[in-house]
Amino acid sequence: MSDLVDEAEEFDAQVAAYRPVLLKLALVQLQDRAAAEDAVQETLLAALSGRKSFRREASIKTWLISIMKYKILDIIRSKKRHQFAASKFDDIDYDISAFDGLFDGTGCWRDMKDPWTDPESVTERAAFFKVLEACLTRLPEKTSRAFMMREWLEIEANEIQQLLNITPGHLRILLYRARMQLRLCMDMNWRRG
Amino acid sequence: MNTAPKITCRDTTWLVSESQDRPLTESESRALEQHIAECPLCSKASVQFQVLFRQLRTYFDREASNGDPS
Ligand SMILES: [Zn+2]
Repeated sequence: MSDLVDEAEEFDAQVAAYRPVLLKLALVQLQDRAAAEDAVQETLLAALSGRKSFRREASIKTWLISIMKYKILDIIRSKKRHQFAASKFDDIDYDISAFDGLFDGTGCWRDMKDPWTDPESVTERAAFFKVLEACLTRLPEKTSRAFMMREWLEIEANEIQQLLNITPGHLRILLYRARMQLRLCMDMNWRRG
Repeated sequence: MNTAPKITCRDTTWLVSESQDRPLTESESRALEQHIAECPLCSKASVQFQVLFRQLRTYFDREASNGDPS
């Protein structure tokens, strides 16, 4: 068997291995198993037939996630989305007292460790992303859904409010919570060697 | 004339978050800059937020923004 065939097979296997990760991402956004499966399937097929457009320096996972982004956006913005909109955002609390402990009575930080810096090498970046992923998965589902709409799908705040049927104030809180929680999580778990 | 309204560390975290979703007003930006310049805790926190935001951008692959020379 030629090296070329080996390489293609290995690529296919690697792509397929990311199926569960993609499915999880799609489910959070679409709230519908069949629709999520479809989006993932289309993404995998697009990836397998587009192997040549894969840039070596990007990770396969990042590449797959960026392909799926447009599939998800299409579905979310299409008329079909009514059937996926079941998730309710009025049954969660928009309380931010979880962060009270970080500040003293005058609103001043109680404590702040030295800042971490950007990962510098390829290995360091991989390690950083691993921690970042773990922190992202710890976000509560609805917080995550709103945050990923903003950060991954790059939808403007106005449109997110409409899509999720929430007020500007509530979206502001969800995004704030996500960022505060991520910073805290990275601060506790990411330290350069 | 350049004194911005005083804000707390907790206020700065709101502004830092919101700056990702909308342009801050002039007085918000001034208040934020001034507070960070005077507060060592917030200057550390804001570096952490900037690293976080930058790495999220890279992670979600906004194609051309991946400017790592290595
Ligand atoms: Zn401060």
